Amino acid sequence: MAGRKSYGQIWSAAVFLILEIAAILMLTGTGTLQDIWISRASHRTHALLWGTGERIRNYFTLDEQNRALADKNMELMKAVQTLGQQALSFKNGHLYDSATVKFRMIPATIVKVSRNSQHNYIVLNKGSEDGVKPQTGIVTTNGVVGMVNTVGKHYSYGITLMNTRMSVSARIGPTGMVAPLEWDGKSTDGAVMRGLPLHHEIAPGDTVWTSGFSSVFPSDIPIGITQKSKLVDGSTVEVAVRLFQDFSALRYVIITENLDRDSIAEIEKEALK
Amino acid sequence: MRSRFVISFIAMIAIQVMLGGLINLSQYLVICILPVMIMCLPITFGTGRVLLVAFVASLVVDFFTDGALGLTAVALLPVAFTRNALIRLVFGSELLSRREDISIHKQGAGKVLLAILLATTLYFLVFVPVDCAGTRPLSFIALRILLSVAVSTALSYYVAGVLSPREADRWS
Repeated sequence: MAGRKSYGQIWSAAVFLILEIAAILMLTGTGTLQDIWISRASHRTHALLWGTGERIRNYFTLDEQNRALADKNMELMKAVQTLGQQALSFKNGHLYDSATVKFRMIPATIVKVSRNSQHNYIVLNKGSEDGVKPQTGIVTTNGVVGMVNTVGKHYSYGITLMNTRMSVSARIGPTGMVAPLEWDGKSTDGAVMRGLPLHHEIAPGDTVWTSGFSSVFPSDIPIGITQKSKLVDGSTVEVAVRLFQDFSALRYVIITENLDRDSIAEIEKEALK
Repeated sequence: MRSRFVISFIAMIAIQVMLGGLINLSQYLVICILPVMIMCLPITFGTGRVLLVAFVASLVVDFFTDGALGLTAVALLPVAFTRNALIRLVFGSELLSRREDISIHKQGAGKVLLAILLATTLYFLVFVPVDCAGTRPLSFIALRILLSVAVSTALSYYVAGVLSPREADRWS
């Protein structure tokens, strides 16, 4: 009985659809205004359906596109590094020597990252087989992320800038003061620079860059923007920095390895003897 | 009974043709009694049969008036398709189970008027926007729907009086 009823309903719906379509076809054939209106509505519906389909397709290829963008970012970063070295050589009256480009870069994807403790860490999908070594930097085009500590075959473990044990040598402005930059311990995009001398005036809104003095991170990577500064113990200034890289939105990073690190370490050891 | 209904139905179609083709009161007002005619078709008619009657009646009206052929059908077919649902909503499912036709005397003026109002509103909600075809502002469309529903419902009530059975006769 129920099956007969539902069959009747399907039959009625089919008759309704057929007759309604016939009426619409007749209407578009005789009414010019209605013809234009219905065609326009039909085009709009097609556009909406195609647009939605395209958006869904794009959504599912986002991961691939992000990887491509991360690779492209790394290439651009390399190019910036090269151009920076070229400009420096030109300024110093030397010819550019490609050997002065000292950093090797390896793109990596974050496997795991912690953000909820005072000692946050990061795990990357590249290890010793990919050429990653301990004590190498982790950066993005938006700034410093952290430093690799331990390297496995296929993965590497590091501490992030959101770790109270980590500090980065940073410079305010292109030729300004250099001081260590540390996480503020509170937010995912906040840091502080401590120990700045009193005589140096710090304006809010100045860009903070990597100094390049640490042999872990390349120089001149923009890190963030200075905020409010305050006097500490009447002797030094502490300035708050808003980081460009929000740690809550991290996915792709670049591992930077200073190719001259061993030579630098060697010369330091010699000097200490 | 049956011949009386058929003659009344054909007469109502002729009246609708005159209302549509000869009387043009205002651009804000369209008078249509077709929804009530569909509602007053015998309950024994299945939805498919009601749809066919609505389609043919609409084409006849469109053919003899200035309207574009198919315009009335586009608006009347949804009324025909939802007729049973409207009846169930207003009169309850007993009317359908008893296979009793809509009657002002049996179901009462209030319920019949409500059913006519719903059917007429549904008709004009489709008819007016399709007739205007995006050339008129929303305020015009809304006013036209309101006026047309009000006048057509009032007129349809008298049509229901003519078409509905005076006794508990059944379509046989």
